[in-house]
Amino acid sequence: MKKIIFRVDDRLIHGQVIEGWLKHFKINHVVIANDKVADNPLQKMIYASTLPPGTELSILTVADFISSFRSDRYKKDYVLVLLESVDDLYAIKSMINDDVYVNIGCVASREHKIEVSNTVFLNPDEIRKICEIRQDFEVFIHKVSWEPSVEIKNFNYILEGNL
Amino acid sequence: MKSLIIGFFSFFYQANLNHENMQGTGFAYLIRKAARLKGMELEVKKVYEQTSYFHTHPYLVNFIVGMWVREFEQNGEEDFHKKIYSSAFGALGDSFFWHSLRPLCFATAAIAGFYNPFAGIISYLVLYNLFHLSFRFTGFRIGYSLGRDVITFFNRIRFNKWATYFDIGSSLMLGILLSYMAKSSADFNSVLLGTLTVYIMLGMALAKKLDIVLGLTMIIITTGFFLYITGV
Repeated sequence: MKKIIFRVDDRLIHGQVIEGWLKHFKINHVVIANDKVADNPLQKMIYASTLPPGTELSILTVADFISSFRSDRYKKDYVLVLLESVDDLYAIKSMINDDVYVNIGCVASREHKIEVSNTVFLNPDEIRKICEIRQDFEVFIHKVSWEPSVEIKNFNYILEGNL
Repeated sequence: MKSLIIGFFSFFYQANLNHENMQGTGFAYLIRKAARLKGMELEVKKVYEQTSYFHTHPYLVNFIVGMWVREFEQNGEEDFHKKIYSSAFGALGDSFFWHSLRPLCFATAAIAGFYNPFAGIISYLVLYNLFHLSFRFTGFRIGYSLGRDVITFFNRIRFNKWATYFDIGSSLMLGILLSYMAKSSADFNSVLLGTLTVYIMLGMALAKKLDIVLGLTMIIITTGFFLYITGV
């Protein structure tokens, strides 16, 4: 597994993240890149209280994450970067390189969303954005580490109504 | 008393678990019950809104129900905090109940079961439910009294460290169990000790790297093959 994981998960830190990613890959640094969470002290405290001892947590705005990522701050760590939405992933797409594993973990069902897997529901705009990232880098749907990952390839079919 | 009633109703909380809204229906059911216990009748629209996507650890949901009712009474941001706490309690609950408490209960039950199978079953049920029911039946009261600051209760008892402590306890119990099994079933010697050590390390490595079920399956097949070859 690569040392840096970008995961889209609208629940951010939850059970599957702790057991399925942190403990499984011995990740020692979790980054939440989200403008709203970075601005809310209670939310920060709640997420900090959920991590196992010894795991560092950074909660940054998307802009701050981009600048810290460019400064090689995470060079020595095994890092899990949690993003709340596909829009946030799209905002940091310039950070994706061959050393980064990109996965879509959980995007909840809402109105006008298409069921892509049993945990991922996307709207047409999100599908277009993932297709664009997919042109240069692999993107997977991967709920927990011990389950098989599904590589996203034919999303344009969904947009054309060929689900 | 109200906390006990909500604790009882929360046994039905996951009855409509599904991929689309996960436990949303169960949460709406609990909220309605809890509000009535506090002398409030929620509007149908408000209850319906609660059927949207919601997923947390089922033993800790009553903390969120208590927090939600408190915030609703005080015109707070009940739905915003509900979302945050759902994932946070999912993280805390999964780590502790599923991945640490269960193995410890299993190891304890296996040791007790050596003396008496009935004692094994009883010890598992008692130990597991001691924690499970404590959280389930006190959750609403604590959630309601602390409101949006309910996380302070978990910080006070250092709940995020419990999983680590229980994992250490499980390893200790497993060591006692294996030592006892080795000592009681064969003449103990260095060859047996070495074989057991390699076996355990191989099993743990497979379970860690691959998957526990797959690791166990491979060990059973390897053992069968080994016994067949050696003619045991």
